[in-house]
Amino acid sequence: MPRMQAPESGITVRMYRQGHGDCFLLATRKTDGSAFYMLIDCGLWTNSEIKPEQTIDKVIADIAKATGNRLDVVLVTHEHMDHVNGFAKKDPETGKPCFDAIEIGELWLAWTEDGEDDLANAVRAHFHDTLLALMGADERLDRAGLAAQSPQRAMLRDLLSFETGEDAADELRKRLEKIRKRHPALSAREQAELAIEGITNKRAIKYLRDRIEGEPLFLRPDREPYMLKGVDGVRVYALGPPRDVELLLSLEPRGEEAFELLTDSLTLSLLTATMVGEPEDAPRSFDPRFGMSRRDVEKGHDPFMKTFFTSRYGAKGKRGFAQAWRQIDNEWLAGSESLALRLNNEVNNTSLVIAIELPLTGKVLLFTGDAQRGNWISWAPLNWTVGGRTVTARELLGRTVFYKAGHHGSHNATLDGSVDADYPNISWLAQGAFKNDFVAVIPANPGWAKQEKNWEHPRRSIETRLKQKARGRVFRSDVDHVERPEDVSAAEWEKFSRVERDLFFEYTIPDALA
Amino acid sequence: MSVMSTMPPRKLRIFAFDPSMGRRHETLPLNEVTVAIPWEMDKIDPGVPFVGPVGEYVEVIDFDPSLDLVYAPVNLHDPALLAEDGLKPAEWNPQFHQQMTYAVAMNTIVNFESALGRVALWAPRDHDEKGKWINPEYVQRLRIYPHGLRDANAYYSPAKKALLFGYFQAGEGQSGAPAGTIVFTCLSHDIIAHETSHALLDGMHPRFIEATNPDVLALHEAFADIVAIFQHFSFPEVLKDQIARTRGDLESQNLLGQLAQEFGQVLGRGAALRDALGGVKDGVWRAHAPDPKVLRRTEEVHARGAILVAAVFRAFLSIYRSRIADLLRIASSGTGILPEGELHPDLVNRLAQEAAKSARHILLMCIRALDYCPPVDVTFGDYLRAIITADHDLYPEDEHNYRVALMEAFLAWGIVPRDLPIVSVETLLWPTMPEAAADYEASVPDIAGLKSAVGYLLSRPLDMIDELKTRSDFRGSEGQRFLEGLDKTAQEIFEEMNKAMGDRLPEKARRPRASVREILARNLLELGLEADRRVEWLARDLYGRLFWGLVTEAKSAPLRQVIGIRTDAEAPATVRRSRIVDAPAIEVHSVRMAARRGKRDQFEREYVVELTQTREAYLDPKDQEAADKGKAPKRPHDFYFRRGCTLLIDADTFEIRRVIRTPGDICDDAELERMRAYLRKQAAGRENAFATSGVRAVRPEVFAHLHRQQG
Repeated sequence: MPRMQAPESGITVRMYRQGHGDCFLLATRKTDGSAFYMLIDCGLWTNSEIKPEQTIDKVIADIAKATGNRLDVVLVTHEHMDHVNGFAKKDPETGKPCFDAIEIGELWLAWTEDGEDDLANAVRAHFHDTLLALMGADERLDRAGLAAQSPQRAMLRDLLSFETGEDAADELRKRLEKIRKRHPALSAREQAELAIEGITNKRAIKYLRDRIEGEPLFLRPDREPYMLKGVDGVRVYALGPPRDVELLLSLEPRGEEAFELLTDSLTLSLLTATMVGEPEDAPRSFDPRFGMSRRDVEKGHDPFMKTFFTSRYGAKGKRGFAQAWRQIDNEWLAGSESLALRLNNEVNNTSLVIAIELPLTGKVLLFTGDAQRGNWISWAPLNWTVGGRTVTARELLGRTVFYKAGHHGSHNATLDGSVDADYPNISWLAQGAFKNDFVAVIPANPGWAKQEKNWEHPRRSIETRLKQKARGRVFRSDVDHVERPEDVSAAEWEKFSRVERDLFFEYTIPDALA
Repeated sequence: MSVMSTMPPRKLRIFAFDPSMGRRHETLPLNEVTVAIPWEMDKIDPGVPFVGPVGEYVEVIDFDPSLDLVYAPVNLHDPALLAEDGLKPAEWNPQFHQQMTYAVAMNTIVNFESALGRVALWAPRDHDEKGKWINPEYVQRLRIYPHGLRDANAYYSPAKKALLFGYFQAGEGQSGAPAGTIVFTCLSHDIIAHETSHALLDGMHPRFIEATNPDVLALHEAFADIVAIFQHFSFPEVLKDQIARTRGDLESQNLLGQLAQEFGQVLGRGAALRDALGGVKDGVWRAHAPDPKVLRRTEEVHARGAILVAAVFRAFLSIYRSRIADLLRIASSGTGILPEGELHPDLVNRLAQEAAKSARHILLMCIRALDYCPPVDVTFGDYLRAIITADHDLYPEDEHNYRVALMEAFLAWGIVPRDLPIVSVETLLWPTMPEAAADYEASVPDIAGLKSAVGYLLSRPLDMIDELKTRSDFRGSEGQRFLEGLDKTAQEIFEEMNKAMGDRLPEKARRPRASVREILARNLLELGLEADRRVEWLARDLYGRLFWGLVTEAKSAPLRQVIGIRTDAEAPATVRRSRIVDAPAIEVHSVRMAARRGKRDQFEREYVVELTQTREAYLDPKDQEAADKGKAPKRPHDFYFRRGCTLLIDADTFEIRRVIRTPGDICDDAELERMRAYLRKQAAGRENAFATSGVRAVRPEVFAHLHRQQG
């Protein structure tokens, strides 16, 4: 397979069609005439391949060939399996990471990954707490005898997979158990941190950090636009993630202490109740002289208690007990699903959102990762001073001619609204002269998502809206050939030049004045 | 037995607010109050243990599933506790937690029963664990789990008929509790009262958990808050301190608003209330001026509910203000300006009493209104009409202008009934039968003929059963099963009555067959607070089915027209059909008694009858159109569209006194579209990326979600 060519002007985007996940390779021309390559994300949900033979290994091999084994920049939007697990992928024969063959120049990450940033550290600590709490909840549901696929657990486990990058939601738990045995002297907190370090998503990022010289670049919306080394004029603006905690997370900041986040009570109590081996070992709510373990009650240590409890509440696992419908063994864990959803949203919301601006035409390519509502809202007031001129986020969005649909086109990741709305939304994109050049891409495998997970990815209304706006020019991973809508003339469609392969689509945004 | 009826009430100590008050030096003395629960509620001989407490109405089961721990149940008949009004309020003692949840829940039930004049019943169990419909089963006791959750949450579970209380570790900045200590929601008077009210309301109106318009769930929440706040205010002790501190400030009532806002502070609950009632500005708390436009733009359940609470609170303040005007004049020698310095303790006492009385009055008015609501799809406007009508029917003379105060407050907050061109205390009254008949152009004489039929039904149920057996339009086996069911219930009532009356029934009255007639010859619903609750439940069910027989009769056509019940064969195919007769189905929910006061101040009783009809509905109007014609899509329907009517029937004259209808009837496509539009909007707002939950008017564990959202 030949090298991927940098276009004469502008940027060529190669969208890989690996499955439910993101992987984009961008090429542009350096001043010395050679190609500059940037990779944005690399991952997919296990078994979500569009075509069984187009595996992630093939994608990585293609990246290596296309770039001549050299990526100038690898950019990771956020730490979810379908964006990063490709970086942790190992060659089954050699056991070495597939990316080993590719040289990596720089690593670009969102500021939330910056270990020197107090707010970032607080955000990550909050994520880790929630993750551990969810792991604990799943463990308790497991012990209560609920099957992994039972409605109470299925969603929780899917979301755990997202956060850890592991196919098996139990992976984190197993890891923690191992670490407890190996490092008994460490505190529970330290053990947990160690266990989290070992999960696939974390290993993927660590792998990338180890591969580069020096430190990654942590992008922030309140910083000057970033430049590509050796490339003239192309500017990369970071729109998100927001520094405003209220927009970033669904939590409120804790008053005066700036960088400590208030852990919500459910997370906290799930942590205290489940971070121990047996329920009986958990910290008591009352003095130990109060309360008797259910096991002891049922054994009849106190005949009165046994009669009272088993006749009213029922003995554990006893079938056919008339009052069994009133038992509440697992009700306290019911909140974990909404907690998991919240964590997923919050991590999505830490997505690094970039607007790549071409120097001549001012055209913009917008990559939003999986940014959610709060992230979108936060772009509204952003502005930068470039060469003495003020560039606003609104202006950048207005010049956007290439849009990577957020979160596989799902609910709340592409905001709907009008041009007049005071928050960024789909109508803000591609205004005026840029209107006719708008193209969108949706990395998604809707058939798999619907059948295996019952997710509406992409959401029909969003896809329809994008198709209207782009006059049909919307790439979706699972659609081999973009089809011309009836209301678009053949002559117009002719101009929509593109490459459609089994492994990827390719589309060029030229930067030439007409 | 005779000893029992003369027993003094059972007295139990509780935290007046929650334990946080006891940690503040200045409020320490206020923190304990004693509630008195009539001994008849739990007729347990003082000589035998009373553990759990498990009584007639509630059962406290103290199991903490997160720790797998069972806490030993308190014995309220322990001689040491009997003598001391129960355990002393103590956070560290789980048995006190049991006592407190029991005491507050029971006190809430007592208030309900005294407002309604009949025993309280919980919603029956009508779904199994998998959510499948089953024949309704009687649920004697509401279950209370004081330590069932580990979260800043507490809720009523309609599926388990249980209250679950959570506890959690206080974080930094938690109001009222030092960081790291445990906050127990089951030690907050307001939270217990709030959750118990949800359960009691669900017992009366099980369809009020169906979110078919923006008001239904908001009413559930608001009502529970109203009960909690005004029940709290009816302890004069808790108000004294606030009133004393106001000194000469005529705006003293404002402090009561502040007090109301402390509601559920530990839970972070009441944020919506805080916004609606008022706020502190320049160090002084001020009530927010009502804004009639807020309601229109407020959709979120709690924010919307808070508006209703604010309206009721405003009415309370104006009633209180008018009740103390004379006291303030007396105390200020007619100037209205009180002297500097502390208020005279006597004056404080009197003011506190007036506040407590006003609070109690509001509380009872708000509870009584529940009998005057339509059975489904209730709105705030309906509730206003219900409050006004219920109070009017009980006290025809509005001596203290309470009704005007309420109406004024509701209107000030923009709560106006739909399609009511002129709003006044008179027009707000639900229509009488002749008024309703005139509205629907039915002939009144035809309807008047019904009186005797209703009388027959209610006074001679067995004869009514016999008559139903002669109906020719019943379908074979289903009709037969229906009739057998009636006999069975009658027999069951007889047996239960026997059991309940025990040795009260003379020996010779216990002959089986004749006695069934004897027992059923009396009106079982008239037993009021004396009734055995299971008998009451059976009787409501029996009368409900008899009433169904009456309404479905051919000669009742004019009545059906006036009350908006459709039985015509041409009704859309989606309208649920009866299994017993060949026509659209009618559900008679319950027939219960309500109290009212006659013109000469005597108490009169009336029956409340609720009828509903159900139609399967689709989000897509095209699917609806096809399904209406009998060509339903293969997938199940999206939601239920219900319409219904509440009738109030005079217990002596059997005259239908009030007709309370939902707008439109079951065939009304415009009303169906209104509900569809609302549900569609809700569904869009509720989605997340992983679940397009579709439309669900009823969420499982609706209150768990509602309360969590708020936390």
